[in-house]
Amino acid sequence: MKICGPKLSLCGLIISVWGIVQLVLMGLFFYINSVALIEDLPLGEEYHTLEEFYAAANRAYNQNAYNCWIAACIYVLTLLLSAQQFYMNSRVTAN
Amino acid sequence: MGSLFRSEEMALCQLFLQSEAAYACVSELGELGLVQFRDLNPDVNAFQRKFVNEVRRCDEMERKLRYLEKEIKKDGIPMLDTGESPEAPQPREMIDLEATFEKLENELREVNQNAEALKRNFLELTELKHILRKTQVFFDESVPTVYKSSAPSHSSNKYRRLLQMADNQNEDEQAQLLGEEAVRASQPGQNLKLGFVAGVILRERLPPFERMLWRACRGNVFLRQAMIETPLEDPTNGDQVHKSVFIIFFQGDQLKTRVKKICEGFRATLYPCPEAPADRREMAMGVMTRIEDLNTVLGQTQDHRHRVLVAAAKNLKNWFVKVRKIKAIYHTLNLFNLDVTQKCLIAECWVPLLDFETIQLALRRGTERSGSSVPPILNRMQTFENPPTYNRTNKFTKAFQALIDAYGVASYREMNPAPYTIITFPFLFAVMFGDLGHGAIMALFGLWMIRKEKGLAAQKTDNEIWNIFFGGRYIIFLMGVFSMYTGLIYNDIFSKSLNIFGSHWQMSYNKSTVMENKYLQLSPKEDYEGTPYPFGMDPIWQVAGSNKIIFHNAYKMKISIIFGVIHMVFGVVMSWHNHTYFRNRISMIYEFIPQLVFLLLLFFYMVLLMFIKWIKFAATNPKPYSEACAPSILITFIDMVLFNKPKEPVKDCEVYMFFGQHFVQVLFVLLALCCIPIMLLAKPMLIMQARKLANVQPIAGASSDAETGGVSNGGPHGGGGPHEEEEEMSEIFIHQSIHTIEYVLGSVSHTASYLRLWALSLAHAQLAEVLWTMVLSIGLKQEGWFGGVILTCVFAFWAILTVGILVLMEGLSAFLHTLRLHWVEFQSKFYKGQGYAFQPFSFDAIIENGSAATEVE
Amino acid sequence: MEVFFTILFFTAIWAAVGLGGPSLVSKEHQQDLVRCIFLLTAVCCWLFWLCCYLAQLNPLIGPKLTQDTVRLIAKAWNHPITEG
Repeated sequence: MKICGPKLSLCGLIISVWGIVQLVLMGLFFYINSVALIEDLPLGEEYHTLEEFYAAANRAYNQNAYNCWIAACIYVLTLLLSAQQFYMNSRVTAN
Repeated sequence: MGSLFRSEEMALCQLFLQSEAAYACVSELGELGLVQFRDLNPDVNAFQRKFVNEVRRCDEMERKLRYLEKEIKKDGIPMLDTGESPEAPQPREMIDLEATFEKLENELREVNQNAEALKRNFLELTELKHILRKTQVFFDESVPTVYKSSAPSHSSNKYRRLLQMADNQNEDEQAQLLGEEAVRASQPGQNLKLGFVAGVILRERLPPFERMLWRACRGNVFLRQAMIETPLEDPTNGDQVHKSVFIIFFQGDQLKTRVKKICEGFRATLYPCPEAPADRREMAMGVMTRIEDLNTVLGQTQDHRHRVLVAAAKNLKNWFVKVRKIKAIYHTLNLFNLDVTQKCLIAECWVPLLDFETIQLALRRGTERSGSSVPPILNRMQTFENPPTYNRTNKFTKAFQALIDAYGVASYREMNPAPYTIITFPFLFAVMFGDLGHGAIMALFGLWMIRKEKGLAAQKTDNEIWNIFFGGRYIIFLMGVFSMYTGLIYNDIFSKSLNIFGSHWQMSYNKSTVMENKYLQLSPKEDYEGTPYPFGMDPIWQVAGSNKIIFHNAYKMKISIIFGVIHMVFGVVMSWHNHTYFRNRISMIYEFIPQLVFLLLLFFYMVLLMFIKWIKFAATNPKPYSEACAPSILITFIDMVLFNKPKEPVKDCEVYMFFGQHFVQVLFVLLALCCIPIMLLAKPMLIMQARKLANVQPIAGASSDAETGGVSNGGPHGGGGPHEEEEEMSEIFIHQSIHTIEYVLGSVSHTASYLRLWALSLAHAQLAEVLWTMVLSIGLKQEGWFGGVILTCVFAFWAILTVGILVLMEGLSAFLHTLRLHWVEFQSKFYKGQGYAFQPFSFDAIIENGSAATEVE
Repeated sequence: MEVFFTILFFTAIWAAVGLGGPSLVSKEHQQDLVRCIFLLTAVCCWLFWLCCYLAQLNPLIGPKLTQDTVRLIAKAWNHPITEG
């Protein structure tokens, strides 16, 4: 079954590979509480004690890490889909 | 192999070729592609040359081939392109080729003519078929069902009766068509005979046609029309056109002629349409059988055409190459001179000295092939002309050389900036583009093109943008790799930082400080470890949102100036190589040295001040070398050049960075100012003096270095420089003053111009950061598990924007700025670029251009 | 001392690239071009690194951090926040 053309499937292929690599790595960095990604955490304004803040930050880090990995998994699916489409397209042109 | 640093040494040669061997020899030289022939009869027009006939025959053959190519492309038959280039055929083979092409062309034209006639026939028949079918409907609509049911019987004895019925029916029709009013109006008994014409017209012409009919006949005609659903093929150009069937009823001959005229005017084709339904049926049957017959014939014609074209497609590319080669050879032979005895052709050509042997070998091969006994003679000639500039490039250096040549082809044997550009170009680009992520994308794209080089080169496209990218694949790759390195140093990967070695900043705050202050600034005195992050920017700066830019600006501005000044000094040193090579001692002493001194004393001194500031001033030092006392380099420099009195420093600080700085600065500025009159006057004065001397003692040998310095080109190598008429003294003065003013003002503006390195790298970093926080951050900040799905979409959007804006657009802008820095700021220091390119007679180039030209057509 | 050795180390690396690099490439063609390319690469990259290193050698200002950042850095990089 053919859904998309050769260019779109190639584009999907590239973005999927890129997405998988980058999102897996970013998930890893979130998981190890990387300082560079502080600004991307969904943190609230006020925490009264340090412990409260650390708990919230930890939760946010883990949440983001899992979200990144979920997105990476979705990209695995799109990778398979676009790879299949790409294969179909290349077979059509070969014939 | 010659090196890329200077263009090849060239020699002007005279070539004597025996008439019989000339063709074969030139063919061999064309395969070699190392000889540039000069036109020896420039005032003879193209139609009076010796081989004009042959060239014309080749043109004719090429035209036929193009016709064949067009037909082949029309049928979508793949052309076999082996990529190999057959040798130029012998002149006698030309007749065979001509005959072949002639035969093919005639055959094809005949087939096409037949096909067109058949198609026209076919069109007419189909139109008739449609008319019969549609008019049937028109008539049927108005016929009472009684008649209709009796219509389909074929027995001949009923025929008469049917006709009668048809007559009645006609009258009935008329009654129906004209409506009750008309019937009432027409007197009974008077024979009201309505005539009609039927035809086919282009659909878009129908509305004006209808209007015209109405007006011209004052509403006295009745038009019915129906669309033909399937588009018909126009036999003349093969387009698909939509047409409509119409039928017009009218009364009387006068109206008939009028209607016919209007039909003619609108290019409607009229067809005879019998009134009787039986006749119509019969006619329809006849038409159907004829259409079937025609279809078989048409099919056979198409098959034949296809067979012819397939056979031709196999050889077409080959033939093209052969014909173009023959044409090129005769074209070249036309440039030659005929010797008095008519036995021998004389040619003049530019030849790279290194390839002298190869060329002679090729000539010998050519002679052998033609079976001639007299060897060709290749003689070196003395000349005062400027030889062409020839830089031997390979696939790697070609693109870089093209960047230089786009500015101007180097003068003969001048220093070629291309080998240095191979590194400095990607490097300066990377200073502006520094980002590990973006650099990696670019490098991967370049690497992919390099890996797939052969395959990509084979599938030629006329997509210009792709060709530019592909041509610059090595540049793109190197730009990507260097951007990755500078990205590592800037510590930017999609605007985020890597913490590989551990930050060298630390903090020791207590709880209350942390809880009470919204912002905290680390102190460089206490919180800094004392040694910097070993490789690149400390990652702490990435999270220091509020003063990161201040720190980066100070750093990036300084490196822009440092690299800019070094780049310019490098350019001035290049000019030293030129002066020594051309033995131009005057320029060497009175131009190069003051230029270098000027640049070093003012601008390189500023660079040194930057290093001194970096090393000497620290937060841990006591005053006057603490962080509060650090002077601004720019202010210091401006004060130095303008001899301003520096502003009073802050308490306990000092104005100067080191002992005796004031004295050194004054000395430097004075020395630099002294260089200006030397640059301005020394050279023209010395030339003037030398000329006076030469006038006193008019001996040829006395023309010293001074004189060659005045003309400043040519040289001891490659046939010697032309001693043109001496320039006017005043011109030399003007020239020199322009040159000097340009240099002095230029060194200021060019130094400032290198600040674009800072500006663009700042812009790039900021844009990357904005893209991250405005786009990707949205996806990351989603709470809950559904965030992953949103992140997927946001990431794709972010990725597309990253490639589109940051890599493509920013890359293009950084590329153009780098190009400018090389063309203007670097090359203006030494590069004249007044040469002309060596254009050897080469079959490869001719065939490449030829195919490109036909594709454009 | 550490500064001196770091500079020496990176200088040595780039010197090795600039001087030793050409010998990695086959010697057949355009030896001087290859040498020029490696030398220029080494000089550019070394100077670029050096500038960045020296610019941070004696910082005149310190990074200004937000409250959240300070707290997280303190935890992540193990600079504990003292009581009080």
